[in-house]
Amino acid sequence: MTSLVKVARLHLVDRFGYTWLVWGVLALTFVINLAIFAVIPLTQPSGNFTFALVTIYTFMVLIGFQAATRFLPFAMTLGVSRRTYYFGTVLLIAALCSLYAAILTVLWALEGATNGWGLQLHYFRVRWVLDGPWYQVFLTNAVLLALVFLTALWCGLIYRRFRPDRHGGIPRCVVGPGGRRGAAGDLAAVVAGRRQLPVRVECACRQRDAGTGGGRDRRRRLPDHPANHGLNSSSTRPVRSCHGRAGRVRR
Amino acid sequence: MLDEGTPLFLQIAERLSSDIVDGTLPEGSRVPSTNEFAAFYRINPATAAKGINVLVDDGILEKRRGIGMFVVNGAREQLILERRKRFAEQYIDPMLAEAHRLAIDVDALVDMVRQPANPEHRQISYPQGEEAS
Amino acid sequence: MTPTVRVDHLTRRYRGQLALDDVSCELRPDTITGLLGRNGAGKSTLMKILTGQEFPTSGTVRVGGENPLENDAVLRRMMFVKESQVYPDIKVKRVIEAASWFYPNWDGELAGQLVDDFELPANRAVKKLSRGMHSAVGIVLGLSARAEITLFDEPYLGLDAVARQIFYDRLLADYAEHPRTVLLSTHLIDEVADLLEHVLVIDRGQIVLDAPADDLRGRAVTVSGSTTAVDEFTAARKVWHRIGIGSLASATVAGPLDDLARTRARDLGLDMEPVSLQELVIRSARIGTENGAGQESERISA
Repeated sequence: MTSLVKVARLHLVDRFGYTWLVWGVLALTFVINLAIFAVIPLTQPSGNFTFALVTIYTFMVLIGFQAATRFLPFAMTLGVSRRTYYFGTVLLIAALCSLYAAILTVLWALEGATNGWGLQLHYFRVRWVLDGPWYQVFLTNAVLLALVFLTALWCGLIYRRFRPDRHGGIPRCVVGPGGRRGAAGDLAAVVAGRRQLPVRVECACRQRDAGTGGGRDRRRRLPDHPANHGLNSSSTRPVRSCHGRAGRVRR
Repeated sequence: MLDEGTPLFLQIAERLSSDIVDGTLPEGSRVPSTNEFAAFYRINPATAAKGINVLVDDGILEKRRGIGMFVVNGAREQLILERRKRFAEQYIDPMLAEAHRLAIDVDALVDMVRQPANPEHRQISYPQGEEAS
Repeated sequence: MTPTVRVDHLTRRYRGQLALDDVSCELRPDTITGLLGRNGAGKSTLMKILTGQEFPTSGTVRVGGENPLENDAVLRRMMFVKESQVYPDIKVKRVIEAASWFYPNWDGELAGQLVDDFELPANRAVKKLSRGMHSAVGIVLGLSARAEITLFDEPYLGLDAVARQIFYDRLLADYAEHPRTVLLSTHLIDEVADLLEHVLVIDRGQIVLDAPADDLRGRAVTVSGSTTAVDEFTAARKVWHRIGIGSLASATVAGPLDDLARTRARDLGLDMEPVSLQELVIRSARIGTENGAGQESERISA
């Protein structure tokens, strides 16, 4: 079992959330919708439109966020590198979203065939978004689900990075290099396979090292470190700001 | 439990030696393994191994491959001889120092040895040198 | 072949604070090393960098010659149990199940036995566990993984004395059967003093003591008695610490005392007591903050 598959399995170790919970809630809202639209008259001339499918997207937000805040630290304890974790998670998402999209597409087709379950209910045939041919429905669902997950994952990483220290002052485990690169930089660095990450850029106004120094000129030398060779050229882009924002280091 | 001053492995060696001298571990008997020692004293197995190796180096214990560590025949004699040499320094000297502090003279001291308060210890005062058990 | 962990001139600066300052040390393979020090000394930071969870500002870490950072091959052989470990919202038994996939040496039987020893409710979600049980889960993972390099960062938070003793006993027993490199960071020095083969003391981000545990036993001796006797005894010796109360005094000097010194002390009517490992660590850490760490390590090793 390769590491990527292991990571994917790791997410699914408690299958309840991915099976009964999400589909159960979806089924519940569906039934409620059916019940409501069965008794009230047609809400619009073209049918009853509801965006209740958002339930499943909400679910993706939740698991995406948790993937960063809970599964990532756990995976790292188990000796999984960040890179393997991200790739394994992407693998999982690809498979999961495809599966979910497939199910949703089948239901979409069923809904179309039964003319909205006999009530002109547009539950799976979401207006403007999922009302093209079947392959478009499948793709849209799959891609949207994945995007929502990844965005939530990103937010989770940022949350981990910027939330206050639990131990007040003592550095806690951060997702990326300690410093001001930010979650985006971390993700990019890891995906690009960087082993030796450059020393993080020190804030110019606090920098004590020799060099151009000074607060005015933000374009300054990085500390002498093997990984920084070649980065002190004049083409280094200046750092955006001093305090707590992501710096950009040219690599 | 174990005293803090001397290295642990030496203390283990001492403990084992004492057991051999007083007969708890008879000659030719098997000594507990390092892991058993470590578990019993709650110490690191490497430390226990070191202690046992001290005795192996001194010829008190021998390793029989595949079976374990055994007390060498004649080990007890050897240990008793070694301990006799140290006896003066370990026991007599402190006793004399304390006696000096308390102004007990030699004759009084000798009397105390000949007529010890504890009846169990009377055996040593017999000149035949019966083995203390 | 258990890999050696080498740390060279490791520095970690974080928000202007120096968490680790030019740390260099080596974890000998197949030994239990204690990482001792005060809160905030840098123990956790060091361990996190060793396992690639944090990034050094400068310096190198090499595990078997390789950098553990983002290195699956190396990380697979390491296990790091933290006191503040985060788990997904899943049941205890699922956590254990998941962990078993990642470690080739995993022992399921041992895991089951440990769950019983610590009386863990296998079907409860980890986040619903008490502090002590939460720590116990970490210990179960740490021991059952049988990773070649196992790091424990104060894993016993919340565990009572009985449970802690279970941990030490199981650790020793399993370590005896399956030797590995263990790095155990702790405050409770006296409890683990006999388990350790090697001692690393870290204070304010610097290593102030790096010695085999056996060497440290008896490295300092406290003599106490009447003030005159103590002063006479310590006249020609380096005294690390001295306190006096009325006509009594107590001084800590370098040990071990040779036979001559012992006799002399006895003649003077002094009590001699070796300084425990815990005391030694406290002194080296405290004096490290007063005088500068470098000075103290020089004194201790003199």
